[in-house]
Amino acid sequence: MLSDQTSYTDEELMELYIAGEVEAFAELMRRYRRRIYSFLRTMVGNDRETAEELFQETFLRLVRVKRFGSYLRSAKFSTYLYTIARNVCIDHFRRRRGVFERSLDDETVVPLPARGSLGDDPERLLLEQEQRDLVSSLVTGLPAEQREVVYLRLRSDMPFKEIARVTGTGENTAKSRYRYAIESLSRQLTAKDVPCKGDLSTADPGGQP
Amino acid sequence: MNCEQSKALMLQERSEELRPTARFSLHQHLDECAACRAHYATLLSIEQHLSAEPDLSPSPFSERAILNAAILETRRRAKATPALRSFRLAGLASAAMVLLGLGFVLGHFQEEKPLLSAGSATTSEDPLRLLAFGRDAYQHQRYDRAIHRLTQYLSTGVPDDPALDYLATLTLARSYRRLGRHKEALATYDRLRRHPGSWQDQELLAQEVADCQRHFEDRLVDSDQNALPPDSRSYEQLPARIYRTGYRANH
Repeated sequence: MLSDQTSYTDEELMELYIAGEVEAFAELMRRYRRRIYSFLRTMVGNDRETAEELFQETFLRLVRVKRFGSYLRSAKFSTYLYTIARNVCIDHFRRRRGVFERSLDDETVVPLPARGSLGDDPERLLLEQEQRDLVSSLVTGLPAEQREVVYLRLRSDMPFKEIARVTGTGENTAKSRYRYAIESLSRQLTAKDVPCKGDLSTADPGGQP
Repeated sequence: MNCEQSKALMLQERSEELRPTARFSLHQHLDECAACRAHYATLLSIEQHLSAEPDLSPSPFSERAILNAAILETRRRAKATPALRSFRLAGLASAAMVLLGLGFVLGHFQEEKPLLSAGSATTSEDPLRLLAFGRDAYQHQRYDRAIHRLTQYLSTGVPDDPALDYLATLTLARSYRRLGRHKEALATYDRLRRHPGSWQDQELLAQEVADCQRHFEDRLVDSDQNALPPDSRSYEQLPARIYRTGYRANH
């Protein structure tokens, strides 16, 4: 029985699980379940059923890990787990060829916020929420290689070095994928004429040197 | 620096590819150019929107099933460890014998094929393996095999483990659905509904059942039409029926 699970690092918890401590695994689940599930939802274009299945598969693969090996001596547990999740995704995409990429024409239906959830300035908050939902829906239209980098960078706060490890590419490749993704998102937002915080209409036209 | 160059540098800055000197030049340009400042703010707001998005939660059912699998795996390893140790000792002793006899035996010994191919499971194996094979087959779209393994698992299933039982039943229902065996799928979904631990997202489950129901009813309509005498069929119905039959044959 673990005394205070929160004081252990992820790597220690994984070692404890391999040594037979199930509670260590439960703590790892608590730490990563939402992040991994959200990552998978992003990767499969918000398909809940598939994301749920891939989530189960990711953690069931972790359950069956027998040795932590040399991987974790040089990398973090989070990198390891995201790599498993990514491999599960790739296996899924390979099995269902053709659904890997999602067309930008497939507009995601953005759910309306619940009544009373908008606080004091409903109009502003609604606008912000609409922008956020629109940006999220645009992300699902990015190529998968860019989508995963954007998620890992912005939602998981991962440095590019770690992202490169998860995606099995070089650091520069990870950076350029991120750059292309942000460029594509900003271009689409501008094309859709979304009044984002950096809306060009607020700019001073005479300010250009 | 013009605005096009500035926009290129902004992107490089966000992806941490910009050198300090270029960064200084970029921010100097941003101080002077409102249009570029606005564009830069758009980039920042995209990043802010995405990083502020709340994480989603998987269904409690999934977590429970995974934790139960971890418990079973830990128990299995605890049981296997002493046997493994003695097996290793025996292995070392026999390795010496094998090396001595290897030259003699070589060329006269034909290795027998295993009765079961690697990765196959038998009913005597532990239930978790059966479940893993069943799910693996499902993931690889080998639904017949998945149904076989999962039915085996459920008939030999782990007692007092409703979460894994639920996972197996759900995968079984989905396998039937993917194979177009909608009647069996509906019966299996019905078992899920009466299951003591209904942790799966009920809305999602209802969608799957409705989809299954619709296909099942379509099939009933088709079989009713096929049962009609030929002269009572209208010409308008024929292409649709042919199309539907073709569709089913392919799926």
